Amino acid sequence: MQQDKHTNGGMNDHDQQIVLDLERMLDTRNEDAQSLLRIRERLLKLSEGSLPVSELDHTAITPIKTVKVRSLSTNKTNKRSIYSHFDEGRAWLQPLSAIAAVLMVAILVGSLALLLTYLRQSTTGNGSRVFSQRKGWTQLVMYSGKGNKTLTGLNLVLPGLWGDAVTCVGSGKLDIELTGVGMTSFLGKTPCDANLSSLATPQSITQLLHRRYKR
Amino acid sequence: MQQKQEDEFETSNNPSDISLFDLYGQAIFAYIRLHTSSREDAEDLTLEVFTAALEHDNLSGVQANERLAWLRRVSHNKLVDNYRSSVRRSIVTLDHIRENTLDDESGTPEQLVLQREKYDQLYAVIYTLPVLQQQVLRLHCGKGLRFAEIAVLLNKREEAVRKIFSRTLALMRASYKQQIGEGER
Repeated sequence: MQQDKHTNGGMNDHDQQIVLDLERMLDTRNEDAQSLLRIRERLLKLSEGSLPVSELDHTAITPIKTVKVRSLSTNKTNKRSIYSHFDEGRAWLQPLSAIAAVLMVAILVGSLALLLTYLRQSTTGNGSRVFSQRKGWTQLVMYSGKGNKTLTGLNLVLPGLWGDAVTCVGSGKLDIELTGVGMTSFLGKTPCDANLSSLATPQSITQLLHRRYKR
Repeated sequence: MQQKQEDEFETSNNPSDISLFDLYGQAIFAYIRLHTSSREDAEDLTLEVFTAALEHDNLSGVQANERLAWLRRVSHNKLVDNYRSSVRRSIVTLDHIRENTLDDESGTPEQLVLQREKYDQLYAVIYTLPVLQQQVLRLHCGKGLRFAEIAVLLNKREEAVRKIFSRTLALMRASYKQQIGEGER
């Protein structure tokens, strides 16, 4: 304030008189000092950690008309204090909560993984309702849909035991052409049976692709 | 003196909240008092602000000017909470100050009458001022805060606060002269 007054050194006498009048009119520093003292005492009691309601009410030095307001705020302060102690008392619960949270996340992730596995199995046909795979067989590829589709990269090593299973819905035709190194085999034209709903499994066939035939 | 206290606060490894209160209590109380209708509410809110500071462990690592700004933000939030939870509107009036000031007057009856007339004129001018200028006047003349502190509390630059104060004085001077002129006529 003193420094600020110096910086306002350009003020004329009239301005200084106005400032002095304003200070006399607006000055509440005495009352503020008392308020600050009261706050300081309350803060000291709070920081010491003990704030019994009765003690504060008995030591209150404020006018009667303000007791009601003050006691309300005291209760508020005490509530905070009680909550604080209550929280400290439940500190041991925090690790348990963390463990519970981890378990919950693990259960959720596990459920999701199981669900994804089930969905994948059902889309690949492994154990699906349409095809059941015989034990010992490995599914190389599965195709479902309309139109022509070329399946490459099967890497069948012949001679060997392999098979195929076909089913269709409707009354269309199905042509399967097998193409190897320098050879082509037509497994046949299979007319679709609209009523075909039974399970189909791969046949145990030793198929040597040294013949070329067409049905 | 305050600078020395600030230095001690910064160099201390474990500064107590009481020293924080001693440093910034007056400014924060003055700021809260601007926006509360009763002194008791202002005391309670100031206590809540410094209790929040008590719970805020990292405040000692914050720079001094930022510390006051942090306390001001907390005060602002507390005032908003208080306003929302309260049915009463916290309108700041100068009436209580006026009564206190006039009660404290001493002197002859003639002097008292003249003094009251003078203050009435000043009050009339103050009431016509914008809120920001009234706040600067109250904080600087009524609470004795430095312009730097007022700048932080009102979220303005120090230079701007100085200009506001200077403009306010000029405005008051002009109005004062005008009223005196009208009175003489």
